Amino acid sequence: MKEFIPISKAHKTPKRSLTNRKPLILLSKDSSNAMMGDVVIAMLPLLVMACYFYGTRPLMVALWSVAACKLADSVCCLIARHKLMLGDLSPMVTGLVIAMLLPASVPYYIPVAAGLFAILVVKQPFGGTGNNLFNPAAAGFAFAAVCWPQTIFRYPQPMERMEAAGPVTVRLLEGSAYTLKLGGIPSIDWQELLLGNFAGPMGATHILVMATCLIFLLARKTADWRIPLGFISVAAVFSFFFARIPTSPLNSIYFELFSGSVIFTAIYMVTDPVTAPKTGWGRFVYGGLAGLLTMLFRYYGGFEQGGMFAVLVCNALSFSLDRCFISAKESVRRVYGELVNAKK
Amino acid sequence: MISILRRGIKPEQKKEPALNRDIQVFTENVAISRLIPETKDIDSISPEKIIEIARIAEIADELDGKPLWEKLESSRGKASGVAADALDDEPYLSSRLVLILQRREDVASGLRLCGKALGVEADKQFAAVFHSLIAFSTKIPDGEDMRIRRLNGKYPIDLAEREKGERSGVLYIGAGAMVHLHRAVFEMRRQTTAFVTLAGDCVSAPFNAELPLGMPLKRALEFCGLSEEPTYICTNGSLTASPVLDPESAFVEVDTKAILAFHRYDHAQPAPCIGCGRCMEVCPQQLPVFYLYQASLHKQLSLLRRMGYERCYGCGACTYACPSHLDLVPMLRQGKELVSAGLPEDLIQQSRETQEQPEPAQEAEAPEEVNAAGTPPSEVPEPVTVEDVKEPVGAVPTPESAGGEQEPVPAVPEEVGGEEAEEIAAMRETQFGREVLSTAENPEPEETEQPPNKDIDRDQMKKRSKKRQSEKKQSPEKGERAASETSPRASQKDVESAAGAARTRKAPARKDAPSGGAKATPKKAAARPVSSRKAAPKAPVKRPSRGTQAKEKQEVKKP
Repeated sequence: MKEFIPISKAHKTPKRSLTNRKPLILLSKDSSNAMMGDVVIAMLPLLVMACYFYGTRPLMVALWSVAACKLADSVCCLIARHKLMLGDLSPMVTGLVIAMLLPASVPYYIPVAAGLFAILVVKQPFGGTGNNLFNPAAAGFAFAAVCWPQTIFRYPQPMERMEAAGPVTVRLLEGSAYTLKLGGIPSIDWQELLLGNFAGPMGATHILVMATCLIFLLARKTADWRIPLGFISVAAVFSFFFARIPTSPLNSIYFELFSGSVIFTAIYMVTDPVTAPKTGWGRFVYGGLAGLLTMLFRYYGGFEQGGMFAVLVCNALSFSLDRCFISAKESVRRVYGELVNAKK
Repeated sequence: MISILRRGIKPEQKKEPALNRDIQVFTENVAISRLIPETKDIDSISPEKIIEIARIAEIADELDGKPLWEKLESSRGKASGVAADALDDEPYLSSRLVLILQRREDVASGLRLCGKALGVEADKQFAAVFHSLIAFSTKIPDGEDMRIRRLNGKYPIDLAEREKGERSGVLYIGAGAMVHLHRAVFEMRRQTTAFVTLAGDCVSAPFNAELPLGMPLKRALEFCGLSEEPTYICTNGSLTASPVLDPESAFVEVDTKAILAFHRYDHAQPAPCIGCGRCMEVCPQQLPVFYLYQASLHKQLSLLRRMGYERCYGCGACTYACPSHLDLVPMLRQGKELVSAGLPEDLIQQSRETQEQPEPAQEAEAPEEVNAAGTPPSEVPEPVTVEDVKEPVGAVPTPESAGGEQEPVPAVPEEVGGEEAEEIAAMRETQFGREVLSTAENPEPEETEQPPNKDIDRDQMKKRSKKRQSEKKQSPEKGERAASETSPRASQKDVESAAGAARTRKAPARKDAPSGGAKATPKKAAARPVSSRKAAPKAPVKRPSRGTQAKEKQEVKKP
């Protein structure tokens, strides 16, 4: 049915003109914002689990962190006169990652400060979405870890409810990663370790839920399989050969990977497409390097977790890794071409 | 097995509506019985005669637009096989597959003729089709008359097979050219038509047609009954497409395989690249597309050279896969042109210094520049026009130069009249002019939002095309002329050279580009201040470096 246009207004209807931009019907159905949306979707189950274990407070922590990131991002876009995209989900991802790594009992100023640091210092000065050299979430959490180590590495016991407002009155414990660092064996049942029912970061302990989310991200091709594979395999091999607790090597792998935030780092932080290398082998090596550094920081660093620092160090190397592999490929191709020519 | 491992994409094909209809014939090929000797039997004709007939009948291969007789002549005796190319692997495109379905005898006869001309045995002659639901063996049987080879795999199969054929000696010739060859030899008719798919989502009844060469695209679209006014028109497939901005001055040519019209509102709005690396995953040539894109965006020629830019054959798989909807192929093509023009490094350094442009806005503007990049160098006028522009613009500010350095500058572009605008448009087409203008426009990020600018661009496009038309010294009724028997050989060549915007064919003019660019370099240096002055009113901040540049130039002029 064609719309009836009165003759008096006919001359005012805008004439559609030709463009050189392709219609979306000829392009990919995915969009870069949808990829960020995938990560947000993959993080919502973790938030639900956190709310199940700790009450409504994790929701507020996530809200504060996301709000700080989004606000800072929008203000920076306005100041830099970039196109303001309110639907941009990448600051939301940053905020959620920061929130998931914090304990549920954390005071609200810490997620806000970490989010502001991530956006104002690490992301926007480099040119905003898609141009940042370092993972803003890792940098924000590293900032919080350096500034308030006593607060963010002491966790509440699960199933102890905390209200969204008001002071935190629950008992705070050391995490299992800290027990490992002291050389002790955490006294946690294997079922509870997989389900995340132990004192730890509010969203980074639920191993089974995260494994499910990883399958979703891999199926949507939002995360590249090489990065988590390299990360987890290198971390596992390292803890197999260099066990720091007096148990069997397999038990060492078990406790090292599943306590703390190693799996969360492997799934949500290292796989960030902006800061990761683009070549296949570069991604594999990048993941492996990040896994090795994470374990080294955990063993010999000052903090019980080292994933965020490892990610930041590897971000600096990702361009060089790509360049190495691209030039290696080109030179192999050149040598091969010369050999073929020589044969002829 | 190898085809499964090969990289690429699998887009939806959407060919069925056009394939299910008969080929509609608007005009038949014109008979030229006086020139072509009559033959009835393939055995009685010699290979030299076939090539001679192909030359007289002016048959061109629709794959790359080259004359068929040249292709046959050059690979005669060397070819190890010959293939009728009906690999319509791009969505909507079905103009060659439909020939296999509906004009099978003609294609088979043309294939035999090509095989005879090349000296290839019958078992090395085959027709290649893309393995899909349409090309089942029940519909296209592997018969006595013609062997069918089904190729399956991911999208850039046509270009990949042709490249593989170049190495192994298999000559790929379009199925349309085969039909024309058959008609020339047995029916004594020359090629004055092209087989074209008319499709798209505002074509209510898509079909394949035999259209006369030189027919304006607008006329062709009028025939197919548009349900709405299109907003995007492209020729030659939807993935390797070159957008047509002026369908009245673009024509059906020998290598036009499809005319696609879309009326979608959701045109791609490029988002910032998030570096997901999908372009590199799908690239059939395994190029580092992400880094090539960045290098050509920032004009890093040394990086481009190091990363094997020349292997890109523009299949468009990266553009299809990009989740940020960036149009990567024209950008890579621009990078190719930059490298072939060989700009001196110091000039690039200067242009980079003038860039004070935030990243995403530049990316948003990239497709606008791409438009200018799409025009092949064969249409580029001589760089003399750059100097022509320079004198009128440069002469105006000199009397006022005593008063102030920057004040007279903004007035200049307003005084630029119609003719000068045309010349600037022409300058825009040249290599260097485009580069400087793009860098000079960059400091204003809001510019991408302004509609009038686009209008100016479109006006310039129209003027350029009008100019092109007038240069051709041809009567406007090209369609009728081509249809008439007396159409000279030159007219078809003109049509070929006229509207071939952004063709990928390797015309000899393209090979000349590097030398032309090298010649133009001294003029580029002279043209720099002009273009920067032209851009001065747009930039709100006064730049001391430009002021000194202008001063120096005036001092040079005074004595």
